[in-house]
Amino acid sequence: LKFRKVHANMATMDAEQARRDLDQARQSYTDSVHPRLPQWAPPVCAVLVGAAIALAGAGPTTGWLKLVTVIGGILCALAAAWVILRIRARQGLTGLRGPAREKWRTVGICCIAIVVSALASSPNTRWIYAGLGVVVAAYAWVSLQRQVRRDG
Amino acid sequence: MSAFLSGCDEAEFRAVQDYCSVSASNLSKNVAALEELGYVLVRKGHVGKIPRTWLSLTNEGRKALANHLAALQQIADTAARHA
Repeated sequence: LKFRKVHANMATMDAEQARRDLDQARQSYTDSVHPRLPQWAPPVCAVLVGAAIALAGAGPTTGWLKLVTVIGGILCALAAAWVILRIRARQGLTGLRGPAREKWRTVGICCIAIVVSALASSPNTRWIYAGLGVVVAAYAWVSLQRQVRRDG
Repeated sequence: MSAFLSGCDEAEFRAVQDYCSVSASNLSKNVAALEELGYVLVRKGHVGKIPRTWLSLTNEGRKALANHLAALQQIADTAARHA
């Protein structure tokens, strides 16, 4: 019985150690993928992302103006992505691997879908895009705020 | 360290050192050991005139890490089943 107890204790200790190591590995991966952001980054990126959607869906009636707003929207979205990647690069990390890369790919596909639908937008539907921009900006701000470094 | 490197293509030596909170010599020893196993690739270069070292996990290293994590998961799962 004593041997079984000791054996059970060892098994528990091993399992606890394994769980701790797994948690540490997951945390390290997350820390590698998500850079610690300065205070200014979440609001700036949120505004850029919101502006990107609102601008892309502005839907002016003039053809060339529509093209300009859509391109402006794309540039705003690219600027938001650039800010995050640049901060990460300055921290000495380049490239993404694993699930994070898939996540960025999904975000990219969503951006393409928004651009395609924005091409068909009209002055009547611009409020939908403006509302969507506000919602996505708020979501981006809250998500990125979690990555703000505590040490200032 | 390997898990940290698994999230990126390359990481600067200093970034890994800061994250792991270890001395440069300690990290160098660990990196050398992993490099010998073929798990980590070390690239040296310059940014302007400043010498820099970049570390990356090789495909072998990624496989080894995945296997190690799978083994840990198995231990945790087995213990959970018997609890």
